[in-house]
Amino acid sequence: MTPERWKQIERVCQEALDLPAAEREAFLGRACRGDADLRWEVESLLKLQPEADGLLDHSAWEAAAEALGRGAGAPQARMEPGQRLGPFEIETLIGTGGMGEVYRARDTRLGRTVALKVLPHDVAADPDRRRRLDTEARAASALQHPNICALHDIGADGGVDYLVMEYLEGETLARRMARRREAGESLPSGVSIDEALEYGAQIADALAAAHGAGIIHRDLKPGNVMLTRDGVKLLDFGLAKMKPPVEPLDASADGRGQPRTVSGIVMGTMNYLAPEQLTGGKADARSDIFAFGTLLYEMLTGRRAFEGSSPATVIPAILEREPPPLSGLQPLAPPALNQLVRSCLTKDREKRCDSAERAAREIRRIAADRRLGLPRPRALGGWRRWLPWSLAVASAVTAAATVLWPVARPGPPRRPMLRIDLDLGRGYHAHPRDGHAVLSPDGSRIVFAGLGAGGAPDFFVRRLDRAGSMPLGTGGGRDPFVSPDGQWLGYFQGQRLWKIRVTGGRPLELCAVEEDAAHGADWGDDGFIVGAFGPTGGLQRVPEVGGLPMPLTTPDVARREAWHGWPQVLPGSRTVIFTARAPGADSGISTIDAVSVASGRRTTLQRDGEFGRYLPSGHLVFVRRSTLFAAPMDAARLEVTGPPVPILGPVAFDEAAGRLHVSVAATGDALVLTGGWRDAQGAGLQDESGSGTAATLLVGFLDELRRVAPPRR
Amino acid sequence: MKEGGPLPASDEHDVTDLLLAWRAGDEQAFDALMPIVYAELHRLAHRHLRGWSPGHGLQTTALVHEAYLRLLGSRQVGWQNRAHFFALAARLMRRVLVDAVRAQQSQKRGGRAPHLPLEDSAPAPLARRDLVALDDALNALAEIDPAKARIVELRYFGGLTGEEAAEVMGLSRVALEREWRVARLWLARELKGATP
Repeated sequence: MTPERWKQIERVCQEALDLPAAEREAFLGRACRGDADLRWEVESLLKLQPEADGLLDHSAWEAAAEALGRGAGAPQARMEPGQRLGPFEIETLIGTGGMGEVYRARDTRLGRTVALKVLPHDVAADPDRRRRLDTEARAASALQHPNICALHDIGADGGVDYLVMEYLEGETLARRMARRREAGESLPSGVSIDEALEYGAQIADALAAAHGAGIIHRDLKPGNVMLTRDGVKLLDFGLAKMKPPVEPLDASADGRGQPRTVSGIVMGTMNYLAPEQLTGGKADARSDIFAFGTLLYEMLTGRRAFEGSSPATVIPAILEREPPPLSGLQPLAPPALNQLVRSCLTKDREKRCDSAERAAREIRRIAADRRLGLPRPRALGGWRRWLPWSLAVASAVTAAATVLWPVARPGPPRRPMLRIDLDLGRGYHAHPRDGHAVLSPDGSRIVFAGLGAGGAPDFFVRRLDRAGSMPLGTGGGRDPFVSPDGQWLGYFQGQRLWKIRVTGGRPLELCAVEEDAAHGADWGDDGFIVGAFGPTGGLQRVPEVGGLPMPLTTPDVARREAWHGWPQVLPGSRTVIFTARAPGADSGISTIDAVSVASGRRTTLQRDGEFGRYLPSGHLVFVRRSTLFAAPMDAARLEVTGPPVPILGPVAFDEAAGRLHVSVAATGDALVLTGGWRDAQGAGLQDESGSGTAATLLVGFLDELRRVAPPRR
Repeated sequence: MKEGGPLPASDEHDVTDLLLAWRAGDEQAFDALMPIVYAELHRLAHRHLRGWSPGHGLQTTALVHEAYLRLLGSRQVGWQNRAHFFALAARLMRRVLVDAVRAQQSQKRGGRAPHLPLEDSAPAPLARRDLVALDDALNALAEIDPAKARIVELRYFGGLTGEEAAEVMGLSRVALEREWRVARLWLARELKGATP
C-alpha cells in the first residue's frame, strides 16, 4: 500500500468514525462509490473497533514482563477479622497505602480501639529499612500533639511487622475534597476559604511541633491529613523514610536483593514533593513547608499546585514551573494568603518560608482580618448570577469587597473587569485551532469541545454556577454556536451542519457542508443560520429547521477575496458582519465587512482586521495580529466612528483559518481564549510548554470596553 | 561511589550537548547519544523487570525520568529537550523490551523447554501481549504513516499520556486522539492478519 492510498483510506475512515454508527453504512456508500477496494479497506478497519479499543491499553512493560514469565501472585491483604497480632485483635481493614494496610483493631489488654498499620514484607526483610523504621518510629512516638496522630507502639508477630496508632474517626482531606467535589458543591476545592485557613493553621501547628522535635514528615499530602471532630490530625509522621526512596537518583540495590522500584510513589503523591526531594537532596523542615504550600493551594483553588498525570509532567512542573497564581483561580483569596503560599512554594529552599510556626501565625492573622467585617459592596445584584460558582459561602462576600473594591472610591462602585482562567476539564484543549468553547447568550453556560469516556470527542455543557459538565453525545464537532434563545447548539461535523438541544438529545442534520469551506456560522433571530456552506466560499443562509442554503455573498476575486466567514448576525437579522479573507495566510489585507440581508449591499467596516463582532456596548471588536482591538461603531449607519484601540492580548488566534474564540453574553461577560496565563497585575505568564493558552472568562468585559474605548456620541 | 549513583558531571554535559545537537538536526549526535541512553535504560529496565509484580503498575515514564535525571541531572534544559529525550527514550525502550522478549523466545526455541506457539484450535484472540508481532506491525505502519507509528511508540513504549505525546508531536490533543484511534485500528488488523 502506498502512503497516498493509505491517506485516502484514513480520511474516509476518520470521517466514518466521526459519525454515529448507524449512519456509517450510508456514508461509506457515498464516500466509496465506485471503489470497492476502498470500501473493503475502511470496513475491515472499522469492524475491528471493539478489539482495537483494548489493544494498547496495557503498558509495554506488562507485555514484556508477562512474556518473560514474571508477574504472578503479588502478596495480597493479609489479615482477616478476628486474627490476632500480639495483643491486638483485627476487626476490619480500614485502608491501604504505600506503607501497607491499616486495620481497626482492639487492644485486648487495655480494651481500647487502635489502628494497626501492617507493614509490607520487604520492609521487614530489609535489615537496613527495618533499622530505620525502629529509629523513626521511636522518634515519632515521642511526638505528643493534638494535631498529630499518636504512634503508640511498634510490634512484630509471626514475621509481620506493625505499627500501633491512635484510632481516628473522620476522613482524610483528600477524601473530603473529592467527596465534596463529587457531590457537586460549588466550592472549587470542596473546602471553603475559612475551612482552608483553619485546617492550614492546625497543619502548620503540627509541623511546628514536629520540626521543633527534629522530626520531618517528608510526605505531607491530602491523604495524610485526617479531619476529625477534634480537628486536624497528621498521619504517618516520619514514616516516609521507610518507604522505598523517593529520590530517583538514589538507585542503589542494583544487582542484589530487592530492587527498589519507584512505583510506590509515582502516582498521586509525587505532586506534593519539594524540588530538593526530587533531585536527591536531603529533605528537611523546609521540604515539609513546600508540601504545606501545595496543600494550601489545593484547598483554596481545587487544583493541584503542580499538576500532571504522570511523573513525566509532574517532575518538571515541580522543578521548573510556577503554579498559576491563587488570585486567578480563587478571586476571594486575600493577597496576604497569596504571598504566604508563594513563599512556601519557592523552589530554592534557602529563600522559602522556613518556619511552620510563622506560617501558622500568618494564617491566623489572615483569618482574623477576614472576620473584621469590612464594608460590603452595594452592587451585589450583578454578582449574584455568577458568584455561586466561587462564592457559595455568604461570609466570603466580605473578602470580595476587600479584594475588588479599593476603599474610598468616589461615586457608585463600578464593576471592575475580572478575569478568571477556567479549567474546563473533560479533556478540553485550550488551543487556537480546536479549543472550541462558547459562552451562552445569557452568560450562564459554556459549551466546549472535549473528550469523553475513552477519549471520544464530544461537546460538553458547563453551567457556571455548578461544578462538573454534561456531555451532549454528538461524538465530536467544531465551531459551536448557540441559538439566540439559548436552547440549541449548532456545530459542524463530518461535512454536515448540525444542531442539538443544549440539554442533549438527538443531533439534527441541517445541511451539507463543503469540506474546508466552512468558517463558522451564526444563528439569527429571524430563524436563519448564516455560514459559508457551499463550494463558492460565499456566505449562505439556511433555515434553522434545515433545508437548502440560499446565497448571501460571493467572494470578490477582483478584491483578492478567497472566502467569507466567521459571520455574526446582528440583532434584527437585517445585517450580517463577516470576515472577507485574502488568499493564503495574508491576513493583513483581510477586511471586516457588513452585508445587508435584504439588498446584498456590502460595506467595509474595518481594514486589516478579522473576526469582527459588534457588541451592545457600541463597539466593533476584532483581532489584528493576535491582539483584540475595539473601535466605536454606529450600528445603524454601519460605520466605525473612531480609531481602534488594543484591549486584550495576546489572544489565541488560529491564523490559518482566521478563527478566534470569543463570545460575549448579554450580561456583558465574555469568554475568550487568551495566550498565556496571567497574574493578578495582568502581566503575561507564558506556560513553559509554550502552549500557554487558557479559556478565560472576562466578567464585566463590556464595562471595561466602555471605559477603555468610550463610544462617541 | 556506590554503583548506580549519579553519573559524573562530564557525562551529564555530553548528553545535554548531544541532545541539543540532535535537536538541531545532527543525526550523528543521535548515533552517539543512543548507546549512552540505551545502556542506561537497559540497565534500569532489567532491574525493574526483575522486581515487577502486578499491581505495582510499573511506570515507563518513571523509569525514563529516572534515566533522564541520571543522565542530564536536574539541569534546566527546557521542555523541548525533554520532549526530544522522551521521543528518543520511547524508541529505545521499544528496542530494550522487544529485544528482551525476542532473546527469550529464541532461547526457548533452541533450548530445552519446547515452546508451543499459540494453539490454533482455539479461536485466536488478538495477541495483545505479543510484543514481537507488534514491533513488526509498527515497522510496517511506519512505512506508510510514520507519524502514527511514532505516536504508538510514544504512548505504548514511552508510557506518555495522550497530552504528553501531543506535546512531543506538536499536535493538538484532539488531533492526536484521532491519529491514535486509527493507528490502533490499523495495528489491530495487522496483528489479526499475523495470527489468523
